[in-house]
Parts: sequence; C-alpha cells; structure tokens
Amino acid sequence: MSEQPKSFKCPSCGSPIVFVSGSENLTCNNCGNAYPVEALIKAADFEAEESAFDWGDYKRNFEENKQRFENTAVYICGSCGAQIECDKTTAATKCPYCDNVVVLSDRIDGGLKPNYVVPFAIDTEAAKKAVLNHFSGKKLLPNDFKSLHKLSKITGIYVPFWLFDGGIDGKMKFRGTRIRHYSDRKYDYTETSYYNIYVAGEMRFEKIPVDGSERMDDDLMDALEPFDYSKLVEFNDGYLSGFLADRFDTDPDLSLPRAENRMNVSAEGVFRDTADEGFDTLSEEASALKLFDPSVKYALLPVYLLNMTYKGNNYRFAVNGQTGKVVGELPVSRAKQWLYTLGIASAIAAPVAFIATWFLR
Amino acid sequence: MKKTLVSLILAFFLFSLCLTSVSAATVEYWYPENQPDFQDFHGENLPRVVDNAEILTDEQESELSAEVQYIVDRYNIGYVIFTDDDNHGLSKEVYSADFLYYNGYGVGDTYDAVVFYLSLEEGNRGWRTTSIGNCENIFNSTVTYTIDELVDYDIRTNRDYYTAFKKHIAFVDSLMSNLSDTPDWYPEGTLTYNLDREDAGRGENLDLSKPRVIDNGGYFTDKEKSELSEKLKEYSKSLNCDLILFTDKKCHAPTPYIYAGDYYYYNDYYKDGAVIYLINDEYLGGYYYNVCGFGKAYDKISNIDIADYLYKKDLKTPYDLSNECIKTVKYVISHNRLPLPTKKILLCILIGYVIGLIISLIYVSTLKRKMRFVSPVDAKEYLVDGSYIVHDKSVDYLYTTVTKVAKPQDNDRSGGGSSFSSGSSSSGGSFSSGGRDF
Repeated sequence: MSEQPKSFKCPSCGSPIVFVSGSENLTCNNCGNAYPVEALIKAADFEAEESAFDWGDYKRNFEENKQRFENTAVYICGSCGAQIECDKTTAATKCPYCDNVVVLSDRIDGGLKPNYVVPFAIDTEAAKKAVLNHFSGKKLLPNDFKSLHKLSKITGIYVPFWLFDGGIDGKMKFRGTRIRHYSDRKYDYTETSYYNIYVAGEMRFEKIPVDGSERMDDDLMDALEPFDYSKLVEFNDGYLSGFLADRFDTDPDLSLPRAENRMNVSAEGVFRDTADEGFDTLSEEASALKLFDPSVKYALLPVYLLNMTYKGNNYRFAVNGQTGKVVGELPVSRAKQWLYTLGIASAIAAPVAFIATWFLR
Repeated sequence: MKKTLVSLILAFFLFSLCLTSVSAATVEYWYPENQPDFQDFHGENLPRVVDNAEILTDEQESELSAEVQYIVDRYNIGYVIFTDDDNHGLSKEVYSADFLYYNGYGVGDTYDAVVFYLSLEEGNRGWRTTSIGNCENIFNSTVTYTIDELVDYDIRTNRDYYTAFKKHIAFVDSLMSNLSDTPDWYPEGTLTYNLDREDAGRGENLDLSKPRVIDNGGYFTDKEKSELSEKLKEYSKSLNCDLILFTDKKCHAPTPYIYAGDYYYYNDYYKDGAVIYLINDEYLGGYYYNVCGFGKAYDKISNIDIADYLYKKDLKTPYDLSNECIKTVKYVISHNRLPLPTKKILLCILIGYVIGLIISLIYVSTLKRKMRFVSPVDAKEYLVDGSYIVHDKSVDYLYTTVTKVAKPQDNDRSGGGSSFSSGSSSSGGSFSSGGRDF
C-alpha cells in the first residue's frame, strides 16, 4: 500500500526542513531560515489531529489497530517521488535517495498519536562527543575497540515509551529486634526483644517510563533515565523532522507489569523506612501491595543509537538525546584484566610481605 | 624446819617452771628477739645437718654431717642441710635465708653460704637451695634448676629425703670442684664465682691471628676446625668484631655463659666481639650452647634468643650447630635481628599475594562494573511528592530472650615447676633461692 507521507518544506525556498536540537525551531538547510514549529504547523495545513492517544480507546480498538501494523507498507517520498518501504513500526524515516526526512503520518494518527514528546536537546556532534567520553577512561577497554568506533553511524531516533501513572496501596508486616548486651563477673549476656511492625499506606507515582518498542532493549532504555520531564511538551510532528522515529509495537498492558514492579519495589522501601524505628534488625515477613488507578500516556523520547561489531559480538550504545547520558555494555580486554590483576597484586604483595616479616619475627 | 622445807620445795617448783618456760620459748631460739646471743649455733662448731622435722635417723644425720663438713673445709664456703615442719609464718626462701644469717653460717668477708632447706610444713611443702654472699653467683637459676631436676623424683615421689640430700651434697662437691680447678688463662687466685668483669673485651685492636676455634671439648675434626676458623676470620674482618668458637667438656664457672665469656675476656680479645660456645658438663645435666657478646655485639645479641632459634632447627652434630650459629651471629650483628626461616619468608610472600590479589580483584571488579550499565529497579524518582499517606502503623512487642556465655576463667597454675627468686632476709641481707613445691 502506498501512502503519502508528511514532509516539511521551507516556506521560503521549498527545501526540506529539519528540527534543530535544543531549540524550538525548524531550520532550513538551504536558506538557513528558522521557523517556530507551531507557525509551520499552521502554515503547512496538516490534517486535523485526531484525539491524542487514549488507552481506553486504544484498548477498545485494539484489534483494528493491531491489524494496521501487521504488514510492512510502502510510502512515496514527497520530495523525489521515490518509493520507500518501511517496517510496521517506523514513524519517521529518511528517503534513501534524496535524504529527505519524512514523517509517516498514519503511523502517528488514528488514536496512536503520542501524547508527549521530549525534543532532542543535544545534536549529533554532542552525542558523538558523549560516546567518546564514555569510552575514555575505561582501563579495560581493548585498544582496537576504540579505533573501531564508527560514530558517523550514530542515529538520532525518537523511541516510543509508555509513561505510566498509578498508585500503590498496601500493607506490610515486619519483624524487628532490639538487642542489648551486658555482663557480670561470670557471664556475657545478650538480651533480644522481638517486635511485629505493621505499616499500611498508599502513594502515587507518575510518568514511569517503559519503552514500547520490541526491538529496543528494555534494560538499555531504562538505563537512559532520567529524562527531564520539565521539557516534556505536547506532541507535535515538527519535532520529529530530522530524526527517525519509531512507533510502539508493545501493548501497554504488556508493559504495565514492568512499571508496576518498580512501583512495588519503591513502595516496599518507603514502608520499610516508615517501620524502622531504630531496630537493630528489621526483616520483611509479609506484604500485600496493590496497584490502583493506573493510566498511561504515550510519549516519544529522544535517543541516539550506535551499533558496533567487535570480534563477532554486537555492541549497542544509546545516548539520552536530552541529557547526553551514554549507556551500553563495553567489551573487556582479557589481557588488560589479567595485567591489572597481577600487576596490582604484585605491587601490594611486596610491602605487605615486608610488613609481615616484622610481625612473624 | 617445816617452813624451810616448804620454801625450798616451792622455790624448786618455781625454778622448774622457769626452766620449762625458757625451753618453750626456744622454738625460734635462733631469732634475735628470742635469744640475743647465739650460744648454740654461732661459733666454730656449726651443725651441718639441722633436722627439725626429724626425718633422718641418727646414723643418717651423722653420715650427712660428715660429708657436708668435708665440702665446707675443702671449698671454704658455709654449707648446711636444714629441715623443718614449721616456717613460722615466713616464706621458705626468707626462712632459710634467716637461718643462714642469724646462725652465722656465712664464711669470709663476703659471708658466703648455702643451705638446702626442706620444708614439711602442712600445706607448704617444698625445697629450696638458698644462698648468700658469693654463693649467690654460684647457685644461680641454672644451677638450682639442675639441682631440682636431680632431687625431684626422690623427694616428690619416693619421699626418700636421705638419698636426695646425698645427691645434693655430691652435686655441690662436683660444682665447687669445677669452680676451683680453673684453667691457666684465668688470673691467678681467681674464684670464678667472684668475678665482676666488664661487658667489653680487653683487646685494643682486632687481631685476626688469635685463635678462632678453641676446641677443648674435642668436638671437631681438623678439617671442620679449619673450615670454621676460616669462616670466623672472614666474618670477624667484615664486621670488625672478634668472633670465636669455644668448646669444653667442663664448665669452670657458675654457668657456661660466664665461662665462655671469661675465656674471651681473659684472653684479651677485641672490645667488640662474640664467643659462640658449646659446653657439656655432667653437673649441668647436658649440653649447653649459646653466644656471649661484648661491646657493640653485646647490645645486638643480648635481647635475641639465638639458642632458641637454633634449637628449632634441630641440628644434629656439633659442626652443623656451630656452622649455623656462626652464620646466625653474623646476621644478627649486621641486621639487629634473627634471619627469618625460609618457611616464614614464603608465608609472608603468600600473605602478601593473598592480600594483594584480594585488593586487585576488588579494584578490577570496580573497573569491570564501569564497563556495564545498571538499570534502575525502583521508581523512587517518580514518586509524587506528598502523595505518601500512612493509614496505619503499629509496633507490637512480642517477647524477649536472654542468652549467656560463660567468661573464660584464669587457669589454675600447675604446681611442681621450679621457681627462682632473689630478695632480702629478715636481717636485711640479700639472698637467692631456687626450688620446687610438692
């Protein structure tokens, strides 16, 4: 199926126009003019938005929405007319022929439009520098890995996230002890007093992010936190221009347990702090925690991705497109690991052995 | 007439009473407060066996007295065997020392005397060899320990006191004979227990031509003597100290340490040096080896137990022992400490590497942790401020347990070991005393 994707053109010269990280503008690469996003939206005469993502609607229309993305689709580039084939989750991409950025509107319409977006605050160069900084100072990193970095392949992409709100209502039971020591001429005594502690309460959480893309590693995306939600804005197509974007392919019902688990862990910690009145030991005996009033919003959060292959293994790095935080697992050089272990052991062994000779004399 | 007779009878009766009370007062008759002049004991005919505990027959007492008197006459020291079953509230050491002082057993200007005292006081049984004057130098802790080992079985197990006294007398005879029969290198008329030499040698220069190995004991072959001599010469030169090796089969001084030191001193070796000695003497009960230092070597050797270090090496022959001792002395003088055994060195290296590995593994694991990323497990950053409400909280007391652990108690001291002490008697005179309780 071929559909007409949206693209942004400069009102002045008609060239492709992209969103500039860290600003509120779309900038024309040709004439250099910059335009506020909102202004271009009005001028470009986009289709009227349907209602923003609503979980209730989504759940009701789940089957219909699911079918829309079971197959790949083909799109016509608005700039050069080339046919672009995309997988089911791409929401914005680049034309491989003219490099024009296209937003695939229907992927973000129809009740699937994100509620929020956090715009990119750092550009590609800053992201590259952040990755280089991440590599530097890593003593166990293989030397030839550093030379492998192909930072030109770093890609900015809006990753779909579910932002969960919810409350935890529950109660917990703890066993606490207070210990006292004393002695007389003949014996040392240990007196242990045991207590049951009950705590019941509730608390609320908001905007716990869980990534909604199957092909994004959940742990990697979680590690990019925190995002500065003060920069969270109502979604607007304009922010996507210049970057790739993915659409969610993980149902929020399936993502909810991940958020709920984090809420439960936090709740247990809060209840424990409440129960702890200076006990010498405090152990959990029972807990009953329940999620109430869950809701979810759909947001696109900015991430730079870099994939590297080293000795047959794939290493993926992600950069928080807002804060510049870099996450990713680095390869460990076995040779360096042994060198450090034995080198430090030997350096310490000599003075320790010398000191030991004084004590064993 | 009748009146006169009654008066006489009464007077006689009163006189008898007085005599009785005087007799009763002579339990501690030789103490000054009970008898200002020592008529019974002071004088020339001092008894050599005083058996207040009445454990000897008359014949035994007579025989032992003659033997003790022989020693007194031959060696010109006071010597007596004394038994009692009442220490009169004093310690065995002080009581026996008082016995010597107050009864005039001391000989010569330095008041030399020794008593072998056996106490059979209930709850306070034991024996002591107590000495005063120059006899304190002779009957030192080494000698009294040897005596204790000699008589222990007879007294403690067999209760054969007569045999124990005989052995004591024989030992003193042998000891005094050694001390009197001094080698030629001692100054003429020397009483080896009456020497007070310095801790530095008399030689002004290091003279490597002086003998290095003096093997009076005959423990080494010529080849061994030559090897040891070369080694001692080499070390003496490098340390600028006189190192010599001295052996003998007799100890002509109160202790082997003194005897070996006397050799070094009276043969005018250098002011700084050490004599390694191996001396075997019957009266000592065995084989003694150690090092006596002089001058700067004295400072370095005196606080280090070289004999114990060598004992642990379990060396079998005099040559091996001497060889090892020479090397050890050289090390001690050079480094102010004993060399560490190879096993201990390896242990120190092992400890060093274990600690080093632990630290390095901890450090490397922190470096590896930096190579990974950590995902948050909780949502505390997303907790809404002020949203936490506590509906209920209660703390219920359940019960209390008490456990107790007994404190370690001091172990009872085991009896039977030798003790040696020095002190002052009731008269103020000093004494040395060694012995055991049973």
